[in-house]
Amino acid sequence: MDKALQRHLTRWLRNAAKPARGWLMLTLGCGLAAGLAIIGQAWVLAELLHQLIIEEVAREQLTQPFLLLAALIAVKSLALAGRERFSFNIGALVRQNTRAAILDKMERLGSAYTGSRAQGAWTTMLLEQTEQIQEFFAKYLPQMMLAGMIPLLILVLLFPINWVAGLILLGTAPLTVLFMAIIGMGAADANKRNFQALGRLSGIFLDRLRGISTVRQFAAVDAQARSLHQASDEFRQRTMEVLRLAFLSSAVLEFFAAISIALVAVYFGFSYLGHLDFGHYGTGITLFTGFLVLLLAPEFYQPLRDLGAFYHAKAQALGAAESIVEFLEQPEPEAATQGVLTRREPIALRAEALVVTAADGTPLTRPVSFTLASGRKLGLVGPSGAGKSSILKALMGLLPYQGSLTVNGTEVRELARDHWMGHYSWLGQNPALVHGSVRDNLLLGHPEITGEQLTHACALAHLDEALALFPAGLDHRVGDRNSGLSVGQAQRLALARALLKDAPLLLLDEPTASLDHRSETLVMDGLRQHWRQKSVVLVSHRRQALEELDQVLEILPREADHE
Amino acid sequence: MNDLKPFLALFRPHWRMMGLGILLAIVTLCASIGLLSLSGWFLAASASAGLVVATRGQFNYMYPSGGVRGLSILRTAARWAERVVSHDATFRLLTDLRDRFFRALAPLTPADRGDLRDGDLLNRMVADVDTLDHLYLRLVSPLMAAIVAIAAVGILVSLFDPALAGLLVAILLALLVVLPLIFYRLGRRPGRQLGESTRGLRQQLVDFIGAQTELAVYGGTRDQRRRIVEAEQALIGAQVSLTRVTATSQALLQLLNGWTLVLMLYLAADQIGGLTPPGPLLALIAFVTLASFEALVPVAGAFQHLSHTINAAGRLRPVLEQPSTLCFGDQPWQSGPITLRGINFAYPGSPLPALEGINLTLAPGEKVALVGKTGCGKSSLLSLLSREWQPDSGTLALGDLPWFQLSESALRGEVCLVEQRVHVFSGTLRENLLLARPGADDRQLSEALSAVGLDGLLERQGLDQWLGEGGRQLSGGEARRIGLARALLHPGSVLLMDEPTEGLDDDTERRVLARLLTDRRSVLYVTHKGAGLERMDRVVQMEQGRIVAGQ
Repeated sequence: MDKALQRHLTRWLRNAAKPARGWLMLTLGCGLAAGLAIIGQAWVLAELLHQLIIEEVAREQLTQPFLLLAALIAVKSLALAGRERFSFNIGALVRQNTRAAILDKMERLGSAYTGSRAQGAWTTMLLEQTEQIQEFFAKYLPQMMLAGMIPLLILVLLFPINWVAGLILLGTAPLTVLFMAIIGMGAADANKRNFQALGRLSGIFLDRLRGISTVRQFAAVDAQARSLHQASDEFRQRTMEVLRLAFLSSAVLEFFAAISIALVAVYFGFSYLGHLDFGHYGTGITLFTGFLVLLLAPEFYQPLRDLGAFYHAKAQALGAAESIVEFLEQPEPEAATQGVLTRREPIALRAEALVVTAADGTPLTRPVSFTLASGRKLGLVGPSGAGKSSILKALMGLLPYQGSLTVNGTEVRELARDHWMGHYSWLGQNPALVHGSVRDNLLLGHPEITGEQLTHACALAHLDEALALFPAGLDHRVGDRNSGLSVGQAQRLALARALLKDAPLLLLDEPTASLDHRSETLVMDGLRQHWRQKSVVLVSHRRQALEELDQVLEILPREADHE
Repeated sequence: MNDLKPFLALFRPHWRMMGLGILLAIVTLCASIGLLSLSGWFLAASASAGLVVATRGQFNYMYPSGGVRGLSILRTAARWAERVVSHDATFRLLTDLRDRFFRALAPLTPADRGDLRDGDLLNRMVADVDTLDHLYLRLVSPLMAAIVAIAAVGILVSLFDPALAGLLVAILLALLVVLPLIFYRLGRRPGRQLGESTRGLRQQLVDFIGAQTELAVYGGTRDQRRRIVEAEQALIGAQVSLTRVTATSQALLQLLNGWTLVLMLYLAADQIGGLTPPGPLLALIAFVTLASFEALVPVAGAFQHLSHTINAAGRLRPVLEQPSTLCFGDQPWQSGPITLRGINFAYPGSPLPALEGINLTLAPGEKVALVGKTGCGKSSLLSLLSREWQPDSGTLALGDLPWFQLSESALRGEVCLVEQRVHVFSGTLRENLLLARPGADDRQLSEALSAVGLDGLLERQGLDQWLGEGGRQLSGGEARRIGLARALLHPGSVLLMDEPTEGLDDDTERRVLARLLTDRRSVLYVTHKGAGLERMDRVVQMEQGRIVAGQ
């Protein structure tokens, strides 16, 4: 990851913490209190040992220091518990904000953009990746501030007592920071690769799961398990790559901590034995000084070691944030608000040299022109892959286009999408049903629909016959991939849902696909009855569906030589 | 806890690496305790010796100071090696586990799977399998190392004072065992809630992403966003409870550790092994006590990891141990008519039969069309032949051989099913086609593609073109034609097709059917359209799960 990007991401993460400033302050307060208690604890313990070993004072005369030690330990424990609890809230708040920002962005970009990435990858971003930034806020950020303060306090305390001990600690500190930085540089990249591997693994698994019956039918379980194993093994290697770096950075820190303990021990030991005689400003070295330094040396490095452990959290958060930030900063088509249609206005459409393009600008259709007066019905036919569905998507405002496509004289791209969506109802080729009951699906977003309207729509879509077969009727459960319904039943349910939306324009993509001849006739009769007042665009292969339309437009595929 | 047993067995193939990891963990702990104790004693002893000029010269400082340096290097090196070894071993184990999970899942028919949702299964495969790394890394290895280190501490202290040693070992062991169990109980409920709410949130997110357009068009987006926020709040609520338990357990551990030090110091200050006053030995006791707490560090988190792992194991086991109802025999394919006699079948939970008293014969090479309106049981009939479902009663046979006695390879090698909704895998075009005929060469693949009118796909990247999620999205008609191309490639002698030409234009439909219906294969062709029926030997009409004409 290059420096500029890393700085950019770090800035984004720090900005994200702003709303949680209050929690951060509380966390720091607790951290500082714990640090002071630890220093006090070392002081009292060293004093006790000195009194007992050198001065040979009886323990009964030292009750007060013993009690003070116990009290300081209690203060430290409480402060640490408080820190843990307050710091959690920082991360929780940021995660909620981040998740909402991603979902908002997805809504604004629309399904034509989100469809370009695997569902598994989106859930990884919204769930795992967002969860992964927790530790940055709960652990790294507060520790970052404490890591400077506590060692400084220890140095301030030690230098007036013994400058050699102070120098030993001070001398090793910059080295640890330097090594950590060197190692940390690669960690963010390794984390990013780790995420990509996890996203790939989830994507492959979900895809194989969806096609599991196909895998079974072609006896390909073994081959697919192998490809999954490969992805899983890649994930392991990526994870190890991340961890090896993290372990190395903590080993470096630990090495310095251990070395300075050894140096302190040797320095004091030799001083006591009279081999060394400096560092004490001429006041001599007591056992108290030796123990104080020995007890504080690990504590001097502890905040840095913790920071090292959480550096991993930072790298992890940077890796996780990269794709989140990249997505959040994706350019958006300017929010269009100029075009406003009145609520019940009949809809007239006009396309001139319309070429629908993918989000990246690749043309998906040949230039098409048509005019549809309000209340008229237009059929689109043509070989599959010619872009009939893409034209519907452009009409819905989900795909960009070149040329002109107007609704009552206003370009579709100039209509605010939410506003425009209120004016049409749509039935897609593979209609998605939400998890829940048949009723939930019919009432989607419109809880005010009456039972009467429901019955009427079910009759028109010819769904009533299917409902009669379900013991639970409208409460029949719809599961994953529309399980619990046959393909035809799902199609009719989606159609009924489309008919329940009271809108002046009806967009239908193969409304009678997967229906038998008799059902098709019934459904088409119902549709014709329903759409009398509406403008309609209908995509179909079925001759029967195209009868009685005002005009039928043939969409020809884009030939290779047009590209 | 019983849920963990089968996973402990998974350690066996990796025991060498894992044993090495535990050994290194023990070395690390002992070096660490040794470093601090030796330093403390060395200071106290040299200070005492230094007080008297006569003993200064006699004090041997070479061994202790060398020992201090050696231990500090040993501790660092051992800890690094321990972490690398144990993590690598764990992740290898997890990869094996994912593999097993998929293999266990694959043969589960819809009936076996019950109401396990896709998002749920994904969560189990990714997150739950990952959680199991705690079992070794955070529980087995550190706890075993801690026990050995505590024993070592006990032996060291008992050299000077057996009573003090007994007390210290008793306190440390009690903390090691009792604290995690108490907090495991406290953390069990929020832990379970954490797992459930994670799954809940994932499910709501999957629903949002999968039906984004529908939600937007029908105005359901705001409701769905509200459900996502609710699921998220449930997740954070569970995390808050867990954080509370964690904070309490850490604080309690710190407190008890600290007070143990005060107690040991107070007791030892009086006398150590009859020595009054104890002198430098007191420093040794104090620092051993202080250092031995490092063995207890994993205790603070152990309870959480314990409940996480147990919950995760509890979610993985049902899938790993669910027997498939799909049993295959060992008989090879034989030539002969496929006969169905008195077949009855109903979907679980449905009071109405999907198929009732079906009698049907498909002679070798015979082409039979199954017609009837949606939901009349045509697809159910095919799903019995492809063994996605099992009939409730009646006989299904190939010549005189019962259908279920066929081996899996015989069935899959000879029977090709084109499903109503063709799944195009996220992978290359080549991989998607090779599924039907592993080992086919590129020429055969291209030929099959042009036969179904998909030569257009070959134009740019050809067979290496990436399809499905993250690649070129195929239209409904194109996906069906991939299914038909697979059917053309499949070498088997029986072809089952479920509305394969839905969404195809008439021209392509005619061409493809001409190819598929003229070869030597027996064909069972489910349709509700008229096209191609003139090529069939027989047309069987179905209505409400029964055959009404053409039998």
